[in-house]
Amino acid sequence: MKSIALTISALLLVSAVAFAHGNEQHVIGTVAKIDANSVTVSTVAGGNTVVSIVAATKFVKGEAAVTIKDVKVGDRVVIHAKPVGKTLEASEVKIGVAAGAAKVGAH
Amino acid sequence: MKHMKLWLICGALLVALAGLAFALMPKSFSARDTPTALEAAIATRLRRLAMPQAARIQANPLTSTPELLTDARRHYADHCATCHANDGSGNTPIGQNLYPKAPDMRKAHTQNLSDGEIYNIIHNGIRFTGMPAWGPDGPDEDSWKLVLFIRHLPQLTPEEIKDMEQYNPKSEADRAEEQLEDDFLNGKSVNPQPHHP
Repeated sequence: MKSIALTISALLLVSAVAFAHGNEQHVIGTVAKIDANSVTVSTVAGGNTVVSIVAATKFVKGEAAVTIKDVKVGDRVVIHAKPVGKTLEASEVKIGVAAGAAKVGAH
Repeated sequence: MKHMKLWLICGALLVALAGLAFALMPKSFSARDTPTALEAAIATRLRRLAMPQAARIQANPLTSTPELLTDARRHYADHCATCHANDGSGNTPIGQNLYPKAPDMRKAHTQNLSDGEIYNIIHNGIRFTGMPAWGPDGPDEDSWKLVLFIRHLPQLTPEEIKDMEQYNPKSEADRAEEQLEDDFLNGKSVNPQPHHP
């Protein structure tokens, strides 16, 4: 009886293992504009990208956890963001420890 | 008249069973859905029933020491964090798209399990989920070490998470991208490459 119940339940609960591709995007550049809801990044690849700030967004500077108040215009940032609809939502904002605008291209 | 009553009762029971089956039946086979509370409760109960009492009450033969915890933490970072995340939250692209989703192991749902239950889940896996059986035949010290680490998850420090990041599986492309980001954050000039998802 127990095995029948297990079999029936197993059939009802049958599911597939999914392997997500992970579509997180990395936005690299300097902060052009920031407010409580979004940050605009002048990217090293060229152009501006707007990333939304949400409650779950983490801010890190070096090894330390910081807050949105620590992000200033001109700061170098690396933002890990996931596409949500037509917008990008930041999961983590890494703030550079070096000041100054980003130089692009040359090694 | 008596037969009529019996038929009515049987009919009502069939309708009730059909309703229950419909409520439990997946509406699609997409892994994006979250199991209903009823489905989760039944699955949890079945998992418990399927685990012998002797396995549930097994005590961890290992005692937690800093050395064992470090060993387990790095093993977890290499083998488990891809789905469960370094902090045990399950917040990873794979963990959040499994059916059921990888649980937040810092919470009571996992922490209230006995050591024996956690060990058996790691060692034998769980059917119809993304959790594979990690244990070899015979003694499995690594799974017992992981039990110690899972107990430690609610107290995990940022320094420990930082250490774990060195042990997470990464491709050459991932490492190169990480290096580029670190260089940029440290003030170096960078030559951005297309992001590999």
